[in-house]
Amino acid sequence: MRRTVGGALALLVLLPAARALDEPKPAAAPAAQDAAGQYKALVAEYKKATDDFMKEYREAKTQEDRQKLIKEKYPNPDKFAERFLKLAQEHPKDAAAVEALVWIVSNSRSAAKGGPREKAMGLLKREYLTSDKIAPLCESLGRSFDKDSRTVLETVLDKNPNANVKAAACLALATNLQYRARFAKQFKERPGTAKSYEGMLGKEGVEEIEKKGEEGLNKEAVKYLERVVKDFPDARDAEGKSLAKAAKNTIDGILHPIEVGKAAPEIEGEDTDGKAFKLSDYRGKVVLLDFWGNW
Amino acid sequence: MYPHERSLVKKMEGKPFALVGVNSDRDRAALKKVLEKENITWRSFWNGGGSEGPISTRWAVRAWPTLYLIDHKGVIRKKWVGNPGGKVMDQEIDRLVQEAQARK
Repeated sequence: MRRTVGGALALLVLLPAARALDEPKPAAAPAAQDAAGQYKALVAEYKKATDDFMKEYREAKTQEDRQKLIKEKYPNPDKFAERFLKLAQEHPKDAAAVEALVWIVSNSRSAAKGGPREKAMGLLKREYLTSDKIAPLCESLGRSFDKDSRTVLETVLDKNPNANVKAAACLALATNLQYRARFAKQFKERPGTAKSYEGMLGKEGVEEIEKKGEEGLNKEAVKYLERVVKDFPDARDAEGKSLAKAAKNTIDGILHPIEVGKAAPEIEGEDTDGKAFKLSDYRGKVVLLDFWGNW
Repeated sequence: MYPHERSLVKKMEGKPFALVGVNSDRDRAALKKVLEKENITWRSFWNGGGSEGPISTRWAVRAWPTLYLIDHKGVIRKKWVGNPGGKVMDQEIDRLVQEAQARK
């Protein structure tokens, strides 16, 4: 498997050169790839394994077949994590090391002591929290309820020199609190469910959520969001979108939630051709607002 | 959803009703083809190229489709997470359209 993907990539790279020479050479053993190349190849291999598995899974006819498939062919992210970890350890100074470690934290769910996720987290904490490549780590930790997720994010917010990364950490802290606020709501509405979340959130986590409640947690989230707006007005994510704008929007959502019986907030946007229009253009008419996507 | 939406728009022509979309696709060019192929004539806001865009975030949309029914005064009257079916939708819309017509 490894060789196939590596070979295919090498072939793609070699192709233009071969054409220029006008005498296509057989793809020789792929040259030793640099760390970035190895990282890309690993990501591609995981993607292919996942796609192949999903395809077979969808085609499986019986429950038995599915079980067998999971047992034999499920591309376990923890297995891949070992290889990403090795890559990071072999090229600690390369930017690919950070990317590999972030991949592990984002994909491996195993909390096993001494497992790759724990090791990756340890390395990131020791060596890379000031790297300008860890914005994706922040996003991932925003959705993680590990005990130290928020501590790490606080450290990044404090110590990382890059404004985009700082803002991503600040935003992720808010996201994390918003998730906890949603849990608070659920615990209140369905008493007795809290206990079953102790495995995921930890005993202290559940206690904190119950103590602070939905409102308290949302209030804390708003503080971080306001900080993004105020301190990082120019920060952008990887796609170039303004983080301050996203934060502002989320604050509105928390402070003025959209509910049946309340006035619809204005939407000022553009249509699919890029022409500006507003929701209030339709005042006087009944509007069916349909959030859709063709997927 | 498209066939029902197409007939809804046609049925409501001339009445105080509008179907407005918020589209969360990633690729605008690909969407353009869908609009043509499916004969989608109603207008959609562009959610910025993904399901985590500004409009869906503000409206707390976490499942697709989600539909909000807003009356002629701009008050939200219904929210459906997932397609409630054409019959239910039509019923609620008709009621609000009658309200709008009665107060004119």
